[in-house]
Amino acid sequence: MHKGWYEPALARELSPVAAPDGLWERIQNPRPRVQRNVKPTFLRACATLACIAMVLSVVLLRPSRQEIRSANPAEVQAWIRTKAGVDIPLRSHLPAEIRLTGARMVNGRAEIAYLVSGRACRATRQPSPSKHAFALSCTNPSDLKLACALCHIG
Amino acid sequence: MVLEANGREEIARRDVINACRRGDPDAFRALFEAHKNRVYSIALRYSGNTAAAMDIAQDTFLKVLSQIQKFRGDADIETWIYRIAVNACLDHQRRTRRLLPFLSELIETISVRGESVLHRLMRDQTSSDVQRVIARLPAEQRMVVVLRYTEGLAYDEIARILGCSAGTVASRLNRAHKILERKLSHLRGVVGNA
Repeated sequence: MHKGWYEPALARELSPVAAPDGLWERIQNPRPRVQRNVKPTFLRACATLACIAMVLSVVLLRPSRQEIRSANPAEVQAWIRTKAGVDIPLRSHLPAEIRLTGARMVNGRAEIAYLVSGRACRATRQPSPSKHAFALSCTNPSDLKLACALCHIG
Repeated sequence: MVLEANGREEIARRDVINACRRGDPDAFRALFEAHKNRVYSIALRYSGNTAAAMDIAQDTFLKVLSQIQKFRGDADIETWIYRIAVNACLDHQRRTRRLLPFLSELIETISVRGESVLHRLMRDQTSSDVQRVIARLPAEQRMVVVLRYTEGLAYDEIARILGCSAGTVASRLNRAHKILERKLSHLRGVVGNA
C-alpha cells in the first residue's frame, strides 16, 4: 500500500463520523432535498435563453448600418443609389472648402458625411414628398448653409 | 467458538433481512441502526457537506427499504448497502453542481451552531486544504479514497462495491495519491504536527 507523508492528515479528515440523530426522522418522514445549489438543467435553460436573447438583439435590434468611405462623389452617389434606391445628384467637383468623406445607411436612410473647412457635417436624407429633403447637422452651425453646395452650384 | 459466534451473527442478520422483506418496521430500524454511521460517513466524506450527506443518507435508506425485496443475498448486505450509498453519492453529485463553493462553504460556516464564526474561519488551514484537494479529486478516485480511508475497506471489498477489479481500485487509488501528494506538497513537514 502506498504510504504518503500526508496519510495521517488524510485519515484524520476522512475519519468515520456518527450519523446525526435526526437521520431516522428524515427517513420516516422524507422531505425534499434542500436546494442550495442550482440545478444544471435550469442553468442550461438560462444559458440557452441568454444566448438566444443575445443573438436576437444583435441580429434584430442592431441598427442596420452600412458605410462607404470615399471622397469620390460619383462613387458615393452610386453607392447610395444601390443601397437606398435614390439618386442624389452630388456635384462631381465640390467647392474647395467642402470635402466629401463618405456615406452610410442608418435605419434605411442615406446619410452623407462631409467636412466643411475640416469641420464634420452630415446630411441625412429624409422621407419626403419632395424630391430631396435632408436633415443637416454640423459641428459649426454656420456651415449648414454650405450643404446646398453638395448638389447645386452657387 | 468464534465460528459458532459468527454463525449465530449470520443467522441473526438473515433474520433481520427476511423480516425487512416482510415489511417489519423494527427489523428495518435494526438494519438502519447497524449501517447508519457507515452510510452517513461515506456520504459526508464524499460530499464534504452535512446537508448533502443527510440527503444522500436519506436516499440510500429509502432505496434500501424499497429494494430489499430484490436483495437476493448473492453479496453481503453490507456490500449491497455500500453500493447503494455509492450510487446515491454519485447521483447527488450529478444532480447538483456546486457553482459557488466558496459561498456554500461560507453559508455552512455561518450556520454551524455552538461554534463561533471566527473560530471556524481560523480552523487549521491544513484541514481545509486536505478537504479541498479531496473534494476536487475525480469522482471515481474520490470514492475509492473515501471507501479506503473512511471505511478502511480492502481493495477487493472496494472492488465488489464498485463493480470493478481490485487492480482498477489500486490504479485509481494510486492516481489519487499522486494528485494528493502533488497538491498538498506545501504541507509537507506540517501535516505530521497538524
